[in-house]
Amino acid sequence: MPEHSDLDERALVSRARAGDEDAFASLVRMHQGRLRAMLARYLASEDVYDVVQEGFIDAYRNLGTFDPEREFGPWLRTICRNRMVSFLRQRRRQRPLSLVDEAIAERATDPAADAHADELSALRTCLQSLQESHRVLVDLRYGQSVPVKDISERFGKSETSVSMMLMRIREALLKCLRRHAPTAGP
Amino acid sequence: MPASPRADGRTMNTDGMDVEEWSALLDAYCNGTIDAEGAQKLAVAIRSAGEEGDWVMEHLALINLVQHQHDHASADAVAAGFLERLRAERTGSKLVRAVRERSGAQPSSPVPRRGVSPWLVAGAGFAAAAVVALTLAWPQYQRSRERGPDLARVAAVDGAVVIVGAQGERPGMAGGGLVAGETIITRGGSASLSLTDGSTIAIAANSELGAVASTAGGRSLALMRGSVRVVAARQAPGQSLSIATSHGTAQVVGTRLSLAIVGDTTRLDVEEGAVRFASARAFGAVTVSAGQYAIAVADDGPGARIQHGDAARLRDATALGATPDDAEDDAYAIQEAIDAAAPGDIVYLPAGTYRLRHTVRMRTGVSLRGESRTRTILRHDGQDAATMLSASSVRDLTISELTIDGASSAAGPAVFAYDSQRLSLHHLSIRDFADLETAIGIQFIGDQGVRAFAHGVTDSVISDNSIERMGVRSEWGAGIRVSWGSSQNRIERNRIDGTGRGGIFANDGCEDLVIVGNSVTRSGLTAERFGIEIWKGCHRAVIEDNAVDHRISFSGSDRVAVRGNTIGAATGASGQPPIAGIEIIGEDAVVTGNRIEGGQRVGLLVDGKVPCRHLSIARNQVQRMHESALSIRAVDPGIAERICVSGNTLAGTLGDAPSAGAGVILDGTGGRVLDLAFAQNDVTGNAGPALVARGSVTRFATRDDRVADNAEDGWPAAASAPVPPAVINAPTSARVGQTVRFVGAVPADAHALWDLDDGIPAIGSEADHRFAEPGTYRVTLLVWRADGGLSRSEHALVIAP
Repeated sequence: MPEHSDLDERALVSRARAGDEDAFASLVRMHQGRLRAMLARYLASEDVYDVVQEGFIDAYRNLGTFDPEREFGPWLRTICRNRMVSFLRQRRRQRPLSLVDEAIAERATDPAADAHADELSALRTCLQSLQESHRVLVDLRYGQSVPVKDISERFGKSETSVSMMLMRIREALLKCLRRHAPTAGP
Repeated sequence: MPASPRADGRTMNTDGMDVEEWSALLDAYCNGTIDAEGAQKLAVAIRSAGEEGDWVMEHLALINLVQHQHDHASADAVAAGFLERLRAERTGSKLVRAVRERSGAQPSSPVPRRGVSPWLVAGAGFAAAAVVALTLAWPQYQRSRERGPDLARVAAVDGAVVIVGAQGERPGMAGGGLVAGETIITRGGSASLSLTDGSTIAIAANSELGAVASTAGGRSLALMRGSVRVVAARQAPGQSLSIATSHGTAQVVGTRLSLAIVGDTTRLDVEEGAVRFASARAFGAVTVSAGQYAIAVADDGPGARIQHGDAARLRDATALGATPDDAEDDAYAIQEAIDAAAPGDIVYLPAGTYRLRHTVRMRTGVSLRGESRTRTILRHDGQDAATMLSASSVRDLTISELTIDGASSAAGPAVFAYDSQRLSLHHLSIRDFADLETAIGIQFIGDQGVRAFAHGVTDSVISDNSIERMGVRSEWGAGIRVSWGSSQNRIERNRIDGTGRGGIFANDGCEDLVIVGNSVTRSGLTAERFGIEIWKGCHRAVIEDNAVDHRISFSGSDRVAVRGNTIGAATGASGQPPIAGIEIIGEDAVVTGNRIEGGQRVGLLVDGKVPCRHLSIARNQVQRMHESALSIRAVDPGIAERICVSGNTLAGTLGDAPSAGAGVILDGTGGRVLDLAFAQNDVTGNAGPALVARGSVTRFATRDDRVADNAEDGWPAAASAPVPPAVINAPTSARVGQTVRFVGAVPADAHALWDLDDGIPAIGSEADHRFAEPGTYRVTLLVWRADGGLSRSEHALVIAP
C-alpha cells in the first residue's frame, strides 16, 4: 500500500464528495489493501473481492452522510464489515455451511479484530521462509484448493498425515506472522 | 490427542475433541463439504470464544489469507472493477457492459464459491482488469485503430445522422460501413443498418448505437440513447446477437424486437421468437416471448428486478385521459381505464406523476402497474381521499411498480382491502402519509362485532415493498396492518422505515400468517415501538428472519414460531427503554435462534397474564438488557408453566434499571410460575444476580447451565437423576417437497410439542411436514408428562434438493 498523508486523504474525500469518481478510485486504491486483509480473515478469497467492491459501492453511495471531520478509514472499515456480516448471513438457508458462517459473522463484528494491510506482505515473507516441499503443499491445498484426499494420493501418504502436516505448517506460519506483525496476527 | 503443543509454546486444551478433528472440520468447512453435526460443533466453538474458537478462527484466517495471497489478480481489480461498476451505474456507460460481454468477464457477479481453484478466480480478475483497461483505453483505441472489417453497413439514412469513430466524425451515408468501436448517432433523422449476418436494425431519431464487436460468439452492440427495432437473422450455432443498455442486455438468436431507453429504464418488446433479457444489475434474467414486453429498471430498492408480461394485456391509462405531470386530477381517468379493462388485463401507468383527488377502486382480475416504482408516482392531491387505492370485494389482482405518495396530507391507508382474496402487492414505494391513526401503508381488514372475522382479506402476498414515513406523529402510524380475520397472508421482504407506532401488525383472528425477511427501522416514533406485533387469535404465525429495531410480540396467539430474527440495539432515544425484545404470550410456541442486541428492559419476556404454557425458548442470544435477559412472570394473577429454556445466551445485563439487572427473573407474585426446565444456558456476566425468583415459583429443574461472573451466581442444583430423552422416529434425510412424518413416543396423558425448525410448531404424537428448502433441519420434540416433567430430544434431518 502506498504511503499517503492525511492531507491527501482529506483532499480526496472532499473531491469525491463533490462527485469526482477518480478521486474516490484513489481512495479505493489507498484503502483496499487493508480492507482486503481485514475481510480475508473471515472470507474465502473469491468472496473478499466481491464484498470489498460492494463495500466501496456502499461507501460511494453514502458519501453524502460522511462527516469530513472524521477519519475516512474507520468509516470505510465499518461499512465493509457490515457488508461482510450481511454477506455471511445471507446464506442462512444453505445449511450446514451457514451455521458456521453465522458464528463467524458474530466474531467478525468486533472492530478490535481488524487486520493490518501489512499482514499480506508479512505472509509473503513467511511463505518464503518455508522449506520447498512445505511451500508446495500449501500451494496445492490453499493456493489451488486441491482436496487433501488428492494430495495424499499424489504423495502416497495417508490423508491424516497430510492433514497433520498442513496443520503443523499453519502453526509455523502463524508463529512467523506473530513475529512479523506482532500486533495483529491473523 | 488431549492437547496439542502450539507453535507459540502455548497448548490448546481441546477437551474431548483433538486437534486432528478440529483440523478435519475446518478442512471440510473450507471445502464446503461439512455436515450438519460438524458445522454445529464448529459454530459452537467459534461462538464460545474459548481456546478452540480462537484456534479455529486463527487457522481459518490463515487459510483465507494464504488463499488470498495466491489471488494476485484480484488485488488491483478491486479498484478497477469498482470504477467500472460505478461508471456503468452512474453514467450509464453502456459500452462498458457490452465490452464486458465480449470478454466474457462478470466481475460484479458472484464467482464460484469454495472449492474452486483460485486461478479460475484470478482469471476472472484478470478479465475484469482487462475490461477496465479496454474501457479506459476506448477513446485512444478508437483514434488509433486501423479500420477493421465492417460489422454493419448503413442501409438507409433519413435526415441528420453521423458516425463517430477512429477517424473522428463523418456524415452517415447509405452504403457506408460501421466497424467495431464506432457509434452511429441519429440527430433528428433516422437510419437503418444491415449487419453482416443479415440482421437489420432500424434506429429511431435521437438515438445512439455503438458497434461493439464481432467475434466468434456473435455480434454485440450497445444502445446508449433512444430506441431501435431489430429484425435478427437466425444466428449460426453458438452465435448470438446481443444489444446492451445500462439496464439490461437482450440476447437473441433470431427474432423481431424493439428496444428503447425511456428515462432510467429500458423497455423491450418482442414481436416474434424469444429474447433472453438480463438485468445489468444482476437481479436475474427473463425469457421474453412473442407478444411480451419487459422493463429493466435502475432501481436499488428491495427485490428490484425485471418486470415482464403480455403486451396485449397492457391497457395504457394515458390513452383514456390520465395525464401525468399536469395539475389535473387523474383519479377518474385511471378509474375509467380499470372499469374498461377485462379480467386478466393490466392497467399500465407510464412514467410520471399522477394526481389523485379521489379513491381509485380496483376490480376483480384487473391489475394496476406502473413503469417502475421510482418513475410512476400516484400523488395525493386534495382533502377527500381517505384511501388512495381500494381493493374491496375483489380477487386475483396485482398492484405493483409504483410509488403511492401521501404528500403528507392523505389520511391513508395507501392501499386498503376488505373482503378480498389473492391480492399481490409488490414492488411498491409507499411514503409520507399524514399523522392520523389511519396512516397505514397497506391495510387488510374484515368484519368486527357479531360477524367478526368474516370478510377478511385472505391468500394474499405483500412483498418487496418500501414503506416510509407513515403517521410518524400518530400513535397508530404503521407500515402494514392485517386484521379481523385476514388469514393465510404472506408478508415478505418489505422494508419499513419511520412509523408512529411500528412496522407490521396483525390483530384479531388473522391466522396462518407468514412474516419473513422484512426489515423495520425507526419504528414507534410516537408510541409503543413495535417491530412486529401479532395480537389476539392470530394463531399459527411464522415470524422468521426479520430484522427489526424494536419488539417482536405475540399475544393471545397459539402455535407461533419466532425464529432467526434480529432485534437491533434499541437506542432509547425517546424516554424509557422499550419493554422487551421478544414478548411471548401464548401456548405451544417456539422462539429459537433470535438475536436481541441490547437496550431493551427485558430481552425475552414471557407474560402469563394470558395463560402461557408449552413453550420452547432455545438458542437465542440476549445481551446488554437493562433489567433482565429473560423474564417469566405470572402476576396478579396469571399462569406461566411448562416452559423449556435451552441453549440460550443470557448475558451482560447492565443493571442500570431499578431492579437488579439479573440474568433471569421469575416472578409468580399473585400468580403461578411452574414446571420450568432450563438446560445448557449460558448465564454469564450479568451485573446483578444470575437468578431472581419471587412469589410462587415451583418445580424448576436445571441441567448443564453455565452460570458464572454474575454479581451472584446462585442457581438451583441440577436434578440428580437425568430425565430420559423423548424418542423420535423419523427419517434422517428426505427431499424438498416430500412429506416427512415424525412420530414421537408420547404417553397418553402427556403433551407433545414439535419444533420442526421450519413452519409452525406441531402438537401431538405425530407431525407431518413438507420442507420447501434444502438444508439441515434441527427437529426438537418436547414431551411434558402429566406431572409437569419434561423429556426432550433432537433429531437432525437433511433435506436434499
